[in-house]
Amino acid sequence: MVRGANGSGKTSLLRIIAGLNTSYSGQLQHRYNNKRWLNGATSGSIGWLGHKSGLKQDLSATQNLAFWSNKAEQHPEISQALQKVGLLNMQQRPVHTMSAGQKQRLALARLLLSNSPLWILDEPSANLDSDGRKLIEALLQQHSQQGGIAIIASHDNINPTAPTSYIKLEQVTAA
Amino acid sequence: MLSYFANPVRFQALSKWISPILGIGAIILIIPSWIMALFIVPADYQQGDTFRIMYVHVPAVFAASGAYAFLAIASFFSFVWRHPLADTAARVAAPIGAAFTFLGLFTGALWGKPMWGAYWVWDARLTSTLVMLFLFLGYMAIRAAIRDENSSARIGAIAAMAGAINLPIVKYSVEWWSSLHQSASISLSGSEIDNSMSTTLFVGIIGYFCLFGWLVINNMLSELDARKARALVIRSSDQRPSTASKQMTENPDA
Amino acid sequence: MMSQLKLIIFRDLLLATRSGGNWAQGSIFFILFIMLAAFALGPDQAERGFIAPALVWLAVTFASQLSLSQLFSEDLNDGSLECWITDNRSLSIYVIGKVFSHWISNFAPILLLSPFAAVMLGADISSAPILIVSLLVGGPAMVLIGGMASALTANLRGAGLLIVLISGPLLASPLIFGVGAVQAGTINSVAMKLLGAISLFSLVLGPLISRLALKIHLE
Repeated sequence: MVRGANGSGKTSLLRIIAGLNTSYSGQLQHRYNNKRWLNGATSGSIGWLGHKSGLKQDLSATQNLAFWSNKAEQHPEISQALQKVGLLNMQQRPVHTMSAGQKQRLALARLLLSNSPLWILDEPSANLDSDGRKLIEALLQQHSQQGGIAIIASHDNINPTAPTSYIKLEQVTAA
Repeated sequence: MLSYFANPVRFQALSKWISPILGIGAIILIIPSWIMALFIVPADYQQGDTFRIMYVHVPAVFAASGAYAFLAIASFFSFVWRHPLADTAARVAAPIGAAFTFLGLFTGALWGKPMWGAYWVWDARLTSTLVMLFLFLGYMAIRAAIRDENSSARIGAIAAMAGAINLPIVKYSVEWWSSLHQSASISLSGSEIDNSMSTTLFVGIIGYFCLFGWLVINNMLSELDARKARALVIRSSDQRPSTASKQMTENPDA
Repeated sequence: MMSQLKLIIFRDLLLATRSGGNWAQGSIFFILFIMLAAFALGPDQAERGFIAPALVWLAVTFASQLSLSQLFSEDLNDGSLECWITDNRSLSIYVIGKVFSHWISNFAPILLLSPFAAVMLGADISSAPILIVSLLVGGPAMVLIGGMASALTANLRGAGLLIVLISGPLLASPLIFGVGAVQAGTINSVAMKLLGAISLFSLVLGPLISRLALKIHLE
């Protein structure tokens, strides 16, 4: 769990870890051999959830998930994921007709389908009500039980039950 | 060696020496080349005195091509080694190069009237110079449009390098095209070149390159100062949010 | 790799059908351009046929650069691009797939209209095959160059004109050889081969440059 005030660099840190930002100075070190860690159990992908959802407004919920999971729209895993985030009744709804919270839930479904042991979530509770935050806590619990880890940048409103270490980023003013 | 001079402080120290050399060089080469062009070189037996505009045209086109090469090389250094100084060099060279290109095209058109009987002909050289002008303008437009300095530098560098790859292809295709459409074109090599003509041209070209170098260095220095000033404004506005931001809006960087 | 390519092409074509006719902008511009050009030339000149290859190629060149501004910017803005990368998928495949589906949805309709435009401008119907071949050979260059300009400007709002300013100088060569190929009248003319060379060259450099540019926009 990464915490810190606005502008302290939470998003930048996550983008660097996710490999989206490659123009930083300094070194990225981790306990795992990068390739083996990433390519071992999965296709080498990261479960990334940023400020932008990666969903197409003109496609339906299942069409979006089918694209990202590279599965047929009727695939049971897709409806399972939708059920977990509570969107089973709006499978065929185009994304642009959904509310902001529903879109965020759909983005969580995309995350579930990524099957990656490493989740990187930037403010996953954005636009979610208290039920939604509980949903995230439950998903994190399940993810960690399956042996996955998650790096999360968030304000104070998520309290994961899984073992968590906290990092607090402080603003450093250059001399 | 390049990385040695890539330090802005060393660059500033070095440019204190080089800038006056280039500035004086430009003056003592360009002005004599004009005097020679106007008084010493004999008039052309066909075109009379009008051809003397060539002594502005040819050096301008040379300097313009040199400027594009400079832009492409600086962009390459900026892109590969991410050096801000190389980016500054590229950024300031573009408008100067565009100005030389425009001067070359304009004088070329004026010279074209007595030479070809028309202000503009779609001759291979003129046409590819026109394409080069648009490459300069495209580079400047994209630099101006992207607000984030880092991505503006990187995207601009890619655009400049893509243009550099394109230029020889355009040059070749335009030559192919004009050889297909034009029955005959007058080339310089055909007419006899007087010794004093080539000397004058040579002096003029070196002078224009000095002028280009002087302009680039001085614009780079002022760009570095402007960047420093911007950094100061941002830093002071971080410390005293209300007053400093007001100051910033009152005097935008010089 | 092939499945990724299929995935992106299929999705973009699906999106094109829901874009409210965005794909037809180029075709409509193409027809308008031909009509207005004929008005500018007057009926005598417009019916003579020798300007047909030049005008059709010119119209296709400009029409191919329309509706490119959203090609990459939409995916950049809605997060699709970053998800594509964190899913460990290939960015080059992504660029090629995007450009190819743009070719199908936007360029192919123009291609189908082009022989009609040429005949309306007085070209002989027998020259239609060579025109189509020249556009098939040169089309990749036009779309790839436009795609590159689109990738460079992907983080800008309303980059339409800037795209043309960047791609314009690069489109000079395909235009020259394209018109030359139609005028040559045979399939294996020098111009046609050079046109193909430019398309192949763009196929190598276009995705490479687009990829670099998109990476920078994500930083």
